[in-house]
Amino acid sequence: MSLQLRVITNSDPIVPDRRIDALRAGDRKATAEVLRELLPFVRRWLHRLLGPRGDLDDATQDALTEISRALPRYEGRASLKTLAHRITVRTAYRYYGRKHGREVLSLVPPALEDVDPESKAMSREALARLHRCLERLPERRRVAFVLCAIEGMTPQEAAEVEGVSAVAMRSRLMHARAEIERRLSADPYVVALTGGRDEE
Amino acid sequence: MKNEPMMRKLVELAREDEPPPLSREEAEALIDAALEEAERPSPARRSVRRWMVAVAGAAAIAAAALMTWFVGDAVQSTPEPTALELPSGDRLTATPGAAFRIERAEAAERLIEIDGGTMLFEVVPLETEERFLVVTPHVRVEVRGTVFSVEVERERSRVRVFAGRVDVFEGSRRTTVDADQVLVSTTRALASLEDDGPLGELGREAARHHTTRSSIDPRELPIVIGEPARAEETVAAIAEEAEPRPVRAPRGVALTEVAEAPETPEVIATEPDEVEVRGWIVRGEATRALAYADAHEGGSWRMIEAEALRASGRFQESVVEFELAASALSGSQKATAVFNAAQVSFREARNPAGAIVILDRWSATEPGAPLEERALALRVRALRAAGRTDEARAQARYYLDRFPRSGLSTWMQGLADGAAVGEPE
Repeated sequence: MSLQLRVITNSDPIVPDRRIDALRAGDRKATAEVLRELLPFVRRWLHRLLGPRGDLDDATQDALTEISRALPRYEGRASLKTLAHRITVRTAYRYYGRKHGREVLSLVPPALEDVDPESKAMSREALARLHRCLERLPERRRVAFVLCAIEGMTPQEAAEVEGVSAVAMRSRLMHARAEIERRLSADPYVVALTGGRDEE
Repeated sequence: MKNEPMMRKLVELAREDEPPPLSREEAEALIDAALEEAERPSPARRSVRRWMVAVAGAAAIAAAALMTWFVGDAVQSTPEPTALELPSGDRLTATPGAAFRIERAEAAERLIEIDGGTMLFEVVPLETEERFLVVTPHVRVEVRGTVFSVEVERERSRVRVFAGRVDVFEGSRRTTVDADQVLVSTTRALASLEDDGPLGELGREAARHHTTRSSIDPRELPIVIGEPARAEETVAAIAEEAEPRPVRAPRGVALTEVAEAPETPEVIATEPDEVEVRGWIVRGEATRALAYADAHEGGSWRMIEAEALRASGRFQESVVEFELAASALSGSQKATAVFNAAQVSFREARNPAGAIVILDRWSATEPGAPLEERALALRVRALRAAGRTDEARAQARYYLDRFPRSGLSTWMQGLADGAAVGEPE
């Protein structure tokens, strides 16, 4: 018995899944199956929302727990994935501001002149700097950037996940981008690695 | 965008970045752990076994959620004195065990009923069209901006005035009580105030700081409607707030530790603050408040968003927003946000099961939790509404063990006994 997950757009009909009854009845097997399908999504969402940190699996478990608790109330009005994403974002908010648990292994960045611009080490360092920059953003703007820029959602879709208006989401995204650009364009390492300021 | 290539490259890197791989066994272990956690007995039920331990260290403010939304609910204060502020800026302090109800909290009329215990009132000076009334089983007190206390016993009420003047009505008879006077209802005797009674020290201190309306700085008005004002917690809450926020100057003993008046008031006078934005909601401008609050970070702004959503009839979103606010808040503010989420779920969204989940998720009914009594009462009602009758009866019995003198005790007893009871008033 497998539950197909798919992104439901506004134009999609919402087809009641016959297994919704099992979920609503708290069927453990059906719930575990849904969690199994959602796990890769939830973990990736959290990885992007929280950045590399040692308590990713704790956060994932928390999100799955919340999803599991929500499933008996699931009525099929929205896609399961949207529901899971919403809960995952909410879980991420709880982790913002917390200490990261175990320290994440951080590499000493290589000197600029010693690395090939295409190397993985450079990419990792650029990414690490992006995440450090995201950590300094107000939480909502950070989430807006992750959902829209990294996850590739439209502001409307991200707004649905966050439960806010699309206008508010656009505003958050705009501020987030401006802040990230302002911070990272002052970082010569990132500029060099990413070929920034080409168009200045 | 000046740095479009840089942003594009960074986004590309972030999209390609995958979390560390999980083995099948690790994935199954995560899922099993999540399922087990989800199936664990609710904190409320576990708390029955743990309450003896928990209560010893718990400090509680029972009436923290006396916001506009909860007007009309009965409250019995906890073992700790209860302090709260109305949207109008009036400050109320109740002795431990005091039973009271805020019937109205609008600017035009504030009405507080006291069934037992002592309450101290610091009432901001009223405009001509405003009324502030306190009603006990024996007297009615009308106020025009003053500091006074009302002590209610089985046979009599005592009204003590520390600053200003109040009118006390017993039936049609009116007696004006001035500062440093006390009126006892049974004797109708007006006497000079020699025994300040419970909360007298607070009353004296408040009287020293009592101001006229013209001297009140708008920034002194409360930051959050109905926010409980327990001194030690307020200090911490302000310290934890992630963003700069207006800080009120101290007016009385309970808040003397809170903060100094801001040195650069012009900084916070330029934009609408939280009080003003809450005022928009009260005036029916919820959409405006929502848009403004959305542009701000921090738990208290999320509370405002949640309230605006509630006022707009967007109840499910309001529940989510209240929970998000709870994530960002601490202490009694957090408890208020959780309680609001559960109450909106129960009352407006008509989702009693959701209300139970919220209360349990946040351990709102833990012994010693800031709003334990109200959360327990709500959980009983939600269990009953969800058709979980046996659990509701068991929870009602537990409620009676914890709060035997509550205004809801008769209703709870009826429910516990299996009587056909309606909804509590």
